[in-house]
Amino acid sequence: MASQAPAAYAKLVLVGAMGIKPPVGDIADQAIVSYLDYPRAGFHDQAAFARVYGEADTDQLEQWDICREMVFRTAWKPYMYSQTLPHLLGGVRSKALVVWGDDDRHVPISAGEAYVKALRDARLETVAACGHYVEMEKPDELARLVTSFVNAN
Amino acid sequence: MHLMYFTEQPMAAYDAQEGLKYGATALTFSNSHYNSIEGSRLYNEYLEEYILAEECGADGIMLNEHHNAPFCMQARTNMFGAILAAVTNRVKIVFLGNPLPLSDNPVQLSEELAMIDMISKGRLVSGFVRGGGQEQLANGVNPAYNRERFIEAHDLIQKIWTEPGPFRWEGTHYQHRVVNPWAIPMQKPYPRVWIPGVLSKETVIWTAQQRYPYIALNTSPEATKQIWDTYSKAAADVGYTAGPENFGYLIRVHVQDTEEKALQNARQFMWMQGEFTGLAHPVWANPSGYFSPSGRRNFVQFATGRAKNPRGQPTFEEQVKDTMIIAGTPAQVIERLKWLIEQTRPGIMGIWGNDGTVSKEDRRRCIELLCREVMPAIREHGAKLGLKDPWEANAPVHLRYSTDIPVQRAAAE
Repeated sequence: MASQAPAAYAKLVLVGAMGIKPPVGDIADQAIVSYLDYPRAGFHDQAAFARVYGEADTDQLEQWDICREMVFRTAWKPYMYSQTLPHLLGGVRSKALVVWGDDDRHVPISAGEAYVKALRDARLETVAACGHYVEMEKPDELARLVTSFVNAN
Repeated sequence: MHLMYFTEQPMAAYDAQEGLKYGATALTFSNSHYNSIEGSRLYNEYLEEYILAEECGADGIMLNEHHNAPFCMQARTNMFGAILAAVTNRVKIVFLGNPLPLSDNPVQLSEELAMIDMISKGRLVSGFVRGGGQEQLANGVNPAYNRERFIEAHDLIQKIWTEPGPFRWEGTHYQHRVVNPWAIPMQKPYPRVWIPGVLSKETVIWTAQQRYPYIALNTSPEATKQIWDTYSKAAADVGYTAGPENFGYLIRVHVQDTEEKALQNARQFMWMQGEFTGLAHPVWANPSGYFSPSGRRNFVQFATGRAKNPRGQPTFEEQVKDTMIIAGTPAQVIERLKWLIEQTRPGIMGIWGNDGTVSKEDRRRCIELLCREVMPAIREHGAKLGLKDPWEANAPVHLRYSTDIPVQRAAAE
């Protein structure tokens, strides 16, 4: 959205963002792993998975399958990235905060580094002992990073 | 009846222990375990066996296609179809079938099929399938659009075969600015289309709406009758009465001179079952969006180990008892098959004769006994039961060519 409307957003926060092809590694393919293994791999600490999802009942599994289907409908090929976006990021004028869990097994941190390199004014912050779902595993840390970024001049 | 010979063309010459160690023998099981020398040997033996089946009297050779797995060496059904078009003279070449959604270019597919039809002098039966879930993943094709791609590719091929080019096709999944292939089938209006399947009710209904025969792939006799019921109701809704010419059935059968040897070899049918259904992740067979939404809840439970396989995992003995596998001497097999066709009443029958590591000598002996002794007896019994195949019944190739639907006649007037 920011690349399509460069002047519309004063600030941009990207958290474990898909969208560009990681220079090193690949975005994890949920098509070939189970409904439980994929979200589990998004957490550094499995206790955090349990805290958020518990036993993951059948209703939850069904929702994950629906989400998976929607991912396939919208982002199948190339898988979860755009070949065009890297060429448009240079036009984004917003200051950007790029946040990544240091144990992100869904989207390699090389993608975060690539975002920082492509955007005009961006910095990378890594969250220690954290997987892909920063907002679920380390919500307080993420909130601190975002609020201080948004409130800064 | 039309009786055809089938084999998955198993790539049995690999280290099975490696598969067990890896925990899967599908999709991601490394092709570093594939031995091309053995692959070459097996391909050539299977080709000789198809020629033998024709010499011994089979009406047709059934071919299929699968990817990334040792249970089936046919990575491209049209390849073997093209070869058989040149080296055989009489048998129908039956694709069951071309996985339409895997094709990014149905126009080119229509050209290949037309070439096979012409080279074989009009012996092509152009079956189409959706392709299993694993095939979508192996070919990078979106499983969520599987059914849409299947229907659109079929419609495009049907148009190519029935309307002169050039024309333009701007579809949802396929866009072609100039459709005008200089390869069109000999058979008119177009080669017969048969649709095989196992589970999907939507596919059965769609097939009935086209008036294409539906080929039930080794379903239990009870499940087969339910499929026929579904088909017959859908047929009645569009104005015709379904008969044996609309139904086909594939059954695993192994014949040898002694019952003991037949049963011993028939156990090889478990080779594929153990590997295909036992050593692959469920989400490979049914990726999200591939199956009917009505099956979603049951499937997610099965895929996470919280429910049993809805198809069950019957033992070899159970499958023999339930007539899902038939093995024995010609006389024993004939008796069982007669009962089966009395129950299921198909006009088309595929006999899946060999699998796994059955020796070359035993495969050939099975084909000889099957085609020379079993098939003639079943053909004769089928004739007594009135089980006509589509040619014997002079069935229309598609619903639009029906001459027995009153509403259509009124429209023509």
